[in-house]
Amino acid sequence: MSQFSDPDSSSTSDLILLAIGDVHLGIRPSSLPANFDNFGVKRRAITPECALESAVDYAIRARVDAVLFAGDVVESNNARFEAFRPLECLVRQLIEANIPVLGVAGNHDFEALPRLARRIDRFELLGVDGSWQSRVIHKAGRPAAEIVGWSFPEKQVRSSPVADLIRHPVAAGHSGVPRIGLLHGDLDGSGGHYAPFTSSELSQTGLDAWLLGHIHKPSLPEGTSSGGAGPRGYLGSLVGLDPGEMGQHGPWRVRVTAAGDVVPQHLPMAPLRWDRFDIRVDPDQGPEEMGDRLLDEAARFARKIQSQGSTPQVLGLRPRLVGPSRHYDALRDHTEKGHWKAISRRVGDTLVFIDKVLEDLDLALDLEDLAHGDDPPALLARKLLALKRPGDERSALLKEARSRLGGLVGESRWSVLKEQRDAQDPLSDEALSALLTRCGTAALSRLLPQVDRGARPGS
Amino acid sequence: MKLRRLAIERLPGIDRAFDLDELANGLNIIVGPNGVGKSRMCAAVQALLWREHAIEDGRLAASAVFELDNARWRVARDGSRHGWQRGGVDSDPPPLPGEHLHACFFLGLRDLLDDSDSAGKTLADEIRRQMSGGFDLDKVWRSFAESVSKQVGKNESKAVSAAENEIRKAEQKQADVARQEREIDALETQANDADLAQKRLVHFDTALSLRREYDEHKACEDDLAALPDALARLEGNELERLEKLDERLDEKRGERETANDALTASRTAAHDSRLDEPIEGALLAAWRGRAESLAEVERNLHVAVHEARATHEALVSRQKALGGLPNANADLSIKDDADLFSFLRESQKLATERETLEIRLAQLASHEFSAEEARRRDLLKRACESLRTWLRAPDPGRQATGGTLWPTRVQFLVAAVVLGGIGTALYFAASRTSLGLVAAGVGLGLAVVALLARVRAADSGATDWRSVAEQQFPQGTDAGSVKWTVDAVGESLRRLEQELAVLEAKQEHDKFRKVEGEQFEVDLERLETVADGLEPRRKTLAKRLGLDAVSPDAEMVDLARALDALRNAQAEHRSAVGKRDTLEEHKAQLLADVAACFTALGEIEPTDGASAKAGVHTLEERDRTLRAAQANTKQEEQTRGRLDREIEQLSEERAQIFRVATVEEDDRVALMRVVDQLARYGTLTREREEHASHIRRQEAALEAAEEGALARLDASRLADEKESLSTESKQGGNLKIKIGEIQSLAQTAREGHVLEDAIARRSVAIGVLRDRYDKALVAEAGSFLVEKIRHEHEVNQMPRVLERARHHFGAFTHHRYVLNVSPSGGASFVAVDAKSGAELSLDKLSDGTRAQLILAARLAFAEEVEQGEDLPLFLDEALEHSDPERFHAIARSLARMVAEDARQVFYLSNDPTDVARFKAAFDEEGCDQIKEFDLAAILCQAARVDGPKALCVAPLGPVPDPAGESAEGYGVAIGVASLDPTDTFGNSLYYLLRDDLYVLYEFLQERIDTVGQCRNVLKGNTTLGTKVDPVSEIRAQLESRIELFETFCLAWREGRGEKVGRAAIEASNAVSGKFFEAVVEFAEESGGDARRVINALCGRSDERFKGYHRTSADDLKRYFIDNGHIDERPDLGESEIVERALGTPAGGRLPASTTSRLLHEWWSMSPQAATRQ
Repeated sequence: MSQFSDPDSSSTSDLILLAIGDVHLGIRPSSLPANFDNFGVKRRAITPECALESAVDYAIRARVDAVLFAGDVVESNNARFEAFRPLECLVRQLIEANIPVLGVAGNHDFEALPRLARRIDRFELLGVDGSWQSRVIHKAGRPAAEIVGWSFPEKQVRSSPVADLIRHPVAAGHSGVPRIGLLHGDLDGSGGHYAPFTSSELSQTGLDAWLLGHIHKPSLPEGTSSGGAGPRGYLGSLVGLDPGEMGQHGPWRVRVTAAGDVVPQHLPMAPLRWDRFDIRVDPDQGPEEMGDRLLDEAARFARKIQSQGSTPQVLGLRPRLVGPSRHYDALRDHTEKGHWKAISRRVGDTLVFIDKVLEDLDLALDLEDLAHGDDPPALLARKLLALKRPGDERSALLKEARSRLGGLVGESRWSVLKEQRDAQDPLSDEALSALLTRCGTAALSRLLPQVDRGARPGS
Repeated sequence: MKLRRLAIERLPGIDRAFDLDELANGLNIIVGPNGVGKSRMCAAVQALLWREHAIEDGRLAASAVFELDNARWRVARDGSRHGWQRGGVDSDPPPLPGEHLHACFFLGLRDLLDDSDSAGKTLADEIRRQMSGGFDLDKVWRSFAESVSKQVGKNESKAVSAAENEIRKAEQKQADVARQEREIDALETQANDADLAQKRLVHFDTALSLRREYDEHKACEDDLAALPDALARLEGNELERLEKLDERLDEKRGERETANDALTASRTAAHDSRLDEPIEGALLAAWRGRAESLAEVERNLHVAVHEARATHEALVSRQKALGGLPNANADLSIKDDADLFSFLRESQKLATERETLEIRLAQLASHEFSAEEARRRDLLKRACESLRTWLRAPDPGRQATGGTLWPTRVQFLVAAVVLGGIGTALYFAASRTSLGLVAAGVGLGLAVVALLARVRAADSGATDWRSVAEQQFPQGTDAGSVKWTVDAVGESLRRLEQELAVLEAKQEHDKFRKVEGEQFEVDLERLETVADGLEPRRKTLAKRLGLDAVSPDAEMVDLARALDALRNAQAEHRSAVGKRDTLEEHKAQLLADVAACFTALGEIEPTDGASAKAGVHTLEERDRTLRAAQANTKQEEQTRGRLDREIEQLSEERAQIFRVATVEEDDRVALMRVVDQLARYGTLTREREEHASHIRRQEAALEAAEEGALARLDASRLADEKESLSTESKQGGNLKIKIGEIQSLAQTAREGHVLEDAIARRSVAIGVLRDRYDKALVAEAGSFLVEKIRHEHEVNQMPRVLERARHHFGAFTHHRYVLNVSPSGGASFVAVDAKSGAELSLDKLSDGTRAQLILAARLAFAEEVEQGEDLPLFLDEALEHSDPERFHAIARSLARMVAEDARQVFYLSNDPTDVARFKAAFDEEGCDQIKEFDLAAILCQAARVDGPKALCVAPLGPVPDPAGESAEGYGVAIGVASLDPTDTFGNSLYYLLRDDLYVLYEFLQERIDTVGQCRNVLKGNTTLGTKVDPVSEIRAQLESRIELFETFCLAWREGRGEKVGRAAIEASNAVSGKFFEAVVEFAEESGGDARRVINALCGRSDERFKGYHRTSADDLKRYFIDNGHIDERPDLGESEIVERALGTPAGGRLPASTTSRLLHEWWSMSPQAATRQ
């Protein structure tokens, strides 16, 4: 953690906040390899609990002026005991270090955080019972920032809390002090149960910055914002909880300057990082050589992110094979059978493992040329080309496919997947087009070897 | 295309060659019983048409002649050799449909009648594939549609639900714990109340006890009030005390009498001491001191008298010692004495110094340098000079010979002249340089040296200096013995020089002594002067001491000492006399003092110390007597007074007892009555006090617990409230247990990971479900795409074939059915009932209808794909199950095909009646192109031998006789193959019987040469088997050896695995085409050793395997393990194999030596593990 030592601790005139997004204490990252225990890394070391310990340790060492939680600190399924205990312990550590701890409750911890606030006097939960509330944070005895927050009063909130704030503004505690919104909810979502609100609503509040929770993919811009609007965005999860939560994760160091600027900086402290990168395969490269290539590319990727300051203990990667290949079927077969799953290599202090190999390979042939015939491959090639070009043919094909797949997608056996936080609509144009392209390419790769091309009727 | 002739030379399944010739253009019915080879014949035709069509289990040798486009095409095949000729010239094959279409032209009964869907489906698939331009869209469709089942995801969804249930249960459990935890405060309040009740219970017990104490205390008070008041003052021992007081009064009174008697006796003793008062101790001590001093003075006086007498005698003796001198009694002063001794010391010192000087002078005189020594010194000087002269002189002998080291004068002069000339020349020639001057100087020097040498030579040549020296050598020395040689002369010179040096040194010392002697003389004269100065002092002293003035000093010393002794004696005597006189005076004084005291006290006057001490002792005794008497008198008086007081006190105490008991004095009876009640009084009193004490303590306890009010409650109320509290307190324990349990549950819940684990399991289940979902989406999307492509293609391409098939099928079924293709993907043809419109899949059709449908489809397809070159159609018992009506309909269709399409048809049947049925149908169609062949008859004709030669058989070769052969030699002779433990029963019997070649010989003669054959012979009921006596030793041995060999082979194979070859490597699907041949090659090189193959692949030790991926090697290894090619058990060595074999029944039946030998032989001859890596 030494690389995260604070360059300008709270002794400076700037106010330093440590903002923490969705922690989800009580669960642990999924999709780890079955043989993970043989990697020499303890499972606990990559849990949200451990990530939060690191963040708290950083806050104490860097002597930040306050720690902010943007909700969903605790997983709702496990909010009473297992996850509550470490949270209470860590919050007490911060308070004993005289670091104010503020937070808002999310849809997962709308019960747990109020309970924590009742148990710890100095833990300040803003906006309990669904009302907006503010708290001024002082620096060297003078007000330096005002945190305006709202908490989930129950598991689901269908109305926009920001609209409520616009209707009933919270009076500024001190004039001239930057005001920072702390909120858990669904930004620009199409309705929903999780406090939906819009960017325009945020703009109307006039607050200088918005630190948001709920979405696990970080979206808060780093550095000084340009164009007048203050920074706003999701803090993201503290650690990637599954392979879908790719990229850099960790707490945010938010500096509030004397001039009133709010400058966020993402600290990539997450002990576990998921990521994806593309590997352009050589057309003649078969599966035999691919294992070593994968590890080499994975190591290269790990070194790249290390050079960017991210040194997770564990790096789970989903490399995607792209490019035309003459070994399409063999490579696809290997990826589908998971031949390279869980192979690992240590790169410096980081353990790198292949979580899953994705493929977006193309056949090593000219679709345009192939599409000139009237046999099935030609018809298939035309479909693949149509999928690449927006137009009526593509729309018709997608519509037909959506109709066909709609039955499958609507079956109850898959309903649980739609409830997941990272659920995506497989019938969206983009997803459906990608799916059909993959399937069409696979079908084409299986068709073409059946007949000698030279003797193919109609070719 | 017509088949004109078919000639079979060799065909597996058919015993002999045959020939079919003159085949009809139309229908050729080939009849023959089952097994005669009809189907094999069809296979042969296919192998002739298509090179890639192989005969499965053997080698084909056949030829055929076809007619096509008015040309004769001949095709021949012998094994893999295959070739076409057109018009007798080698040619490429004629345009034929692809080999994969062979099923369209060769239909078997099985193809048509198999009631499983697969047959028709396969056909339909094939037809559809061909209709799709040769692409098997169904296969692609199946690769998607069948990659996941319809049920996919259900189990996974259930697993997710189960995981969620698990989470809910765990959540519920934690919710319960949380709810219970929330109740803890209330429970703790209840528990505290219970604790309080428990604590109050103690106070209620106290209050109840207090209540009892009150009652009992009051009862005691009442009882005490009924007793006499005097009891309060009695102690209970009054009677005993009274008895004791009476006894003590009697005793005291007796003691008082005794004291009176003692008082009288002490007063008498005082009177008898004759002293009125005791003498003061100081006086007695003084008197005793004086008496003792007196005795001491007397002892000192006695000594002093003796000392005075002794000193007088010593004085007289000293006087006598000086008695001859006139002034013997002169009183010499100390000063005189000091002068005398001073004089004597100075005189003695002077004498000593004079003596020392005289001795030194004498010593100097004895060492004077004598005249003789002077003469000798001169003589030696001269002798030494002579000898030195001799030695310095040149040797006359050498001088005479002219030998010298010095350069000759001539040489010097020449050198001088030359150098002088050069110098001069240089001087003038070289501008008068210094170099010239130097040369001239050197020349001049040399000239001078030459002149000196000239003078020296002249001198040495004039005198013999040695002779002169010898002559001048003085006499009187040791020269006479000197030899006048250089050495001798040198030696003599050194000796004489040493002697001369000694004499000269002595002479020098003599000079110094003379100077010193002169100094001594001066000192001696000075001492004489001092001695002369002492003489007047001597004379003065002698005069003063009365000595002879010329007395020597020794006498003066003795006198001085005597005078000193006399003086001392006089002093001592005077001292002794004085001391004696003093003591006598002191004694008299002491006697006078003591006598005065004694007289005053009536004692006798003392005369000396002893009587004085006796008198003092008597006085001391009298004083002690008086003092003792006076003390006793006083003590007895005190005793008597004390006894009087005690008697009075006892009497008072006695009277007090009666007064306290409130009875008349001395009324013992009354006193006894009162005292008798005292015990009860005491008991009551104690009880009352105890009750009072308890009451105070309990009241204080209640007050301290702030429960003082309880003391005021009555007993019944206290009991009621106590009961209530008791009930409440009993719940406290349970409450605490419950609280502890809840806290434990909460603690466990906090520290556990139950929910986290459950959530993780749900995540895993969701991941699996998502994976299935993705696959299902892929399957559905892929199916969708393929179906769409197929539909589009079928819309454009398929109708032609389908219509033709429908035409055929309608004709075959008299249009009762219409052929159609199932619209669903992957399904087969269906027959649509013309009346009902119902679709019937192949499995729903009768055998005949199905056969008709398939035949129609095949014919239609064949017509489509052959593209004008109509191949013969082979129907192998294809209509066997058709009813006569349908048979007839099909036959008529075939007749039309023959007639209209000129298609050649071969119908193969085992039923001869089919010929007539076909002919009837053909007649109806007006077609006569039909010909019958009896294959059995043809074969029978072909089976006939050509002549006797064909019946000649070569005799069997002889089996070598083992006579005289070693085991090894015989093995070579019979051509034994190497022992191969992987093929137990294929090994030669030789390995079991190499120790008994004759038995082996017998088996070989019966053509039994493998272990397997031998085992079968022994087990079966063969002739040879019966020859081997079932109870014979040989049979038992053989059976055991076979069993042992089997055990050996099994054990040997353990850990070594089965061999791998091309088939296994191909079946593994773990080796891509890029590496396949290399891996097969390596496997063959390594003897099929799977481990070596894997090691080579993993280590990439072989160049051929560069780039081979490790995971593929792992797959291959897994396949090898799963299929027994790699046995992961360790290899067994010889000892382990022997150990295992010995443990088998066979090992036990055979003699141990035989077993060991056989096993060792087998091990030694088997492939060794050393070849393995």
